[in-house]
Amino acid sequence: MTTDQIKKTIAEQMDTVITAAREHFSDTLEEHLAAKGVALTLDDKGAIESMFTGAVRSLLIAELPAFVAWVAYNDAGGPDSLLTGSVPGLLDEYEARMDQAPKRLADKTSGLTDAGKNAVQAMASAKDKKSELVQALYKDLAGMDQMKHLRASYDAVLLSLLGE
Amino acid sequence: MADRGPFPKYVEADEGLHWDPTSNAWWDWWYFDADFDNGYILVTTYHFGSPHTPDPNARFIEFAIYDPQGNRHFIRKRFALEECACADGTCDVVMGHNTAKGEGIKRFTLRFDEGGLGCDLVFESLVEGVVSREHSRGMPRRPDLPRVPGGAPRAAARAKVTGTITVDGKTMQVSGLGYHDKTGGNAGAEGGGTLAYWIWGRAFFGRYTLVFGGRSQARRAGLVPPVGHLRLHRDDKYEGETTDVTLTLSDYTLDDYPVKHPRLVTFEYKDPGFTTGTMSLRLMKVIDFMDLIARFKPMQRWYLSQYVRQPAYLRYLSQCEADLDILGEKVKFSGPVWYEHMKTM
Repeated sequence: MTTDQIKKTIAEQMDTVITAAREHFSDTLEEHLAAKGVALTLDDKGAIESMFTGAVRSLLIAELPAFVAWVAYNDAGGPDSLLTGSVPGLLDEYEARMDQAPKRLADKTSGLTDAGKNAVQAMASAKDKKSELVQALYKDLAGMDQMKHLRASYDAVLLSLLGE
Repeated sequence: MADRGPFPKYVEADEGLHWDPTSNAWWDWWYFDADFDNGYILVTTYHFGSPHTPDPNARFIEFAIYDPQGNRHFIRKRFALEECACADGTCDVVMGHNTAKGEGIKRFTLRFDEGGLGCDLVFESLVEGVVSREHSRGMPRRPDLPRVPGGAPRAAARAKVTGTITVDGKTMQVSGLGYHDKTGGNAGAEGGGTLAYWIWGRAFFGRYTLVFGGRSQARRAGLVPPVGHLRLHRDDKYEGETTDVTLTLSDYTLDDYPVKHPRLVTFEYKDPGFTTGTMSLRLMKVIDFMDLIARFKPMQRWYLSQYVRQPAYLRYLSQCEADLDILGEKVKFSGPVWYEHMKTM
């Protein structure tokens, strides 16, 4: 398989795993409420599942890979492409499967492109050069004319870990 | 049910530096405030160590005067270690040419002069000093336990305050009522991530001195309701404390500040024989706001605000309405009271 095919396959598996978690969550919540005498309608259950998926996509799906990649990068001593290529590419593949970014995710990333542009501008005139990795992550943020919410979250988490 | 004591005796050593060599997050502060008859309010804290971003070597003073219109005149000044000194056994704090000194446990002098702001004040305690719990005093500490603020030894829950204050270079004679305590800990004032917020204030209702407050645990530490507390003097005698208090924050707003804050805080006291009734604090004006993550770099601020917390410190001027039964006596109060809100999430 090519690396693009691997990313596509893994993005599908991410969806499969999240769907299993979503259904487990809504089923256990339904059982919990049933024990208290509260019955969920199908609409309720659908809304709960949608909220679960929204939470995962808004606050987990970009962040956990950022942490894992950061550990792997430090353990292996690079290369930068692990952080700037492979993992964000996987997130792009996953985001392409989403109909629409949840509001929480869109709100979270709303200022990141401008933050990236400001940083790129500041770096251009700064005496002390940032590392190539930091420059690459900021440039990635700055270049998102078409917002990629998961990649932006991922870049921002890494920049935070890099002390930015 | 109220804890009516007996309480540990307040001693001069409670005013000393109680640093914790086992912790890199220890801090001590000497806190003074006063409401003056001319409408000015003074609040200042002399810090050894920082209660927010852990730094045992931080030495700084936060000094605020609010004019009768509620405008803030504020300085935060850091000092080099060699400019600072402090005694172990008494209140004797020197930071540059600024000092806080005790004469025993009933009288304290406070001198500050920086950037056109200043004071030269005497605090004379009108009530007995309090150490509400043995673990809240400085020595010996239990290094195995995180210590969060709230149980501070209080030399002067109510003090007569006289002297001068200086605002914008203009010095004026003042007199009023104030408060002094000495607080410390070996975990940040945020409670090491276990607290969502705390509220603190003091009020003087006739012969009664109330030190009121409450705190709410962080959701990540479990979903439990907030806990209020009340510590009470009648005349000069410490009568005890209770946690049979329901604390409710409501009517939240984002007006003017980037963090949600309540327009209404209500304490419902439910300790018959000690204190019952309601005290509400309706927001009149935010007189102080500190963004506690302002010092971080942009992406770290983004990370903290998205996933961890948006800590901020706010001080409110409020309209207080109290209808209480304290120790069998009906007590009503209607008037301004200011208080603090440390929002750690």
